[in-house]
Amino acid sequence: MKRFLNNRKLLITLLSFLLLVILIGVTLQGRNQSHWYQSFARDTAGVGQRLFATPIGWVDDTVTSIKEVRDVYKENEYLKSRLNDYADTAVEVRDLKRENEELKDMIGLDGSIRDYTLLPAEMIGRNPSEWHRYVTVNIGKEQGVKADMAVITADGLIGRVIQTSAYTSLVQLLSDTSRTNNVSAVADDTRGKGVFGTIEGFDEERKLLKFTKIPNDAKLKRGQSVTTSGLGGKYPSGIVIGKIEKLESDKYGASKIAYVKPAADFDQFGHVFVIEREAKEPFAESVTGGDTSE
Amino acid sequence: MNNAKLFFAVFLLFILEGTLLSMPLGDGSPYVIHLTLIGLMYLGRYGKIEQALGFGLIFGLLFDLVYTDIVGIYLFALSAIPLFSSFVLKYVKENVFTIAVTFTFSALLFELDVYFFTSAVVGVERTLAELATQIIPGSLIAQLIGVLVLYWPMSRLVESSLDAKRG
Repeated sequence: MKRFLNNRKLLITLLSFLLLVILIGVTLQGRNQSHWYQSFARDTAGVGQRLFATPIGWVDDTVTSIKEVRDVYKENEYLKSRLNDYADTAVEVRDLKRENEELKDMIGLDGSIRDYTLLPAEMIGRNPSEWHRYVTVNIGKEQGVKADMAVITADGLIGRVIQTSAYTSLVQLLSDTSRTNNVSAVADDTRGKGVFGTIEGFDEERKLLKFTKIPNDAKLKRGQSVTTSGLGGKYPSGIVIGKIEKLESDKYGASKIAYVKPAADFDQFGHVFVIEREAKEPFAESVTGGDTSE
Repeated sequence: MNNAKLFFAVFLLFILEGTLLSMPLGDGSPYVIHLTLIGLMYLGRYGKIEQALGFGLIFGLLFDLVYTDIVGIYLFALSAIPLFSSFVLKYVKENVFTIAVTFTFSALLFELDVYFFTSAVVGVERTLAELATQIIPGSLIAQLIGVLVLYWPMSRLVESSLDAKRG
């Protein structure tokens, strides 16, 4: 024992390991809360990140614009051919909206899980590792961002805010494979019935999201859209996630798994919107801590 | 003053790693060069080992705080790996080739370390076999490029600040 205590290097190494484990354990417990030291570090580094991210954003926008110019003619032709359909759909949507409002007034319902407001933001940093698919955006608590808000691009859902500081927020992308990263989703089956499940996991090789817990009798097919269901209480409903690419049974045959091609590109985006759901989360005041996932 | 210069250089690498290299322009590669780690390894080799350890702890902590939601994973990796590489280089005849091999091998240990810690703490879906076949080969090439690109500026910077200190 005396010899062991005299070996200072070994003792320091063991104590450092012990301290490390305690540190990981402590921060793991309060993962969904942003502490003052995290906010301070993120806001300070955010100043440096903005200096580089802004010119990178300009170059990125220019490169993307040049790429898009090639497709403009084809896109224009296609959109012209769809214009007649659009006019019909617009009239139909207007009528349905009016009818919906009237019905809501009749039963005294205020707000819906579809309603939300958008907070525009820009990506200023990204976690360089493969194991944490996190990005930093340039708005935080001061702009009204809170943990668990959904984040979208113009194409669809990309993730959720996990921590906020005064001027920046940390966003976990849907492609992050941590076990707590899941979203309640819905797809319409061939009979027009909503099929509910959970988006959890990401197939790295095929770049597809896993839509799990689908009942075996659900009639889904390739190409159908998957959107948020709004049932998790945090995200609004109707945000596009992607389209079904492939269907198969899970390994026990108890339910089906659909592989979903994400509508948004998780690797290439600069501008995002943080979504504030207008309908309040059920039981929000009585729930504290616990799982932060949707 | 020299410490401040070195600190600023590593901080610049830290910011570049999370912005320029991680925000792909056009069809960018998914493999990110671990500039902070490479900078710290050069600091451990050409500067003082205590300084590399101190900077490793500071930038490891900063990495955890800024880019992740758990403190400890990068704190350990960014302080232990530069120590390991400078220890190995004590027993190897130094030239560009041996430095490139040692630093690239150390970067491989860094990837494995972060993988094991992350899978133990929060869980990851990828298996070790997938890591070895899908990520490691591309990542090693990226790290090798980073080591070679930073060889001249980092070794010169660290040596010049050490010379200035000695007077």
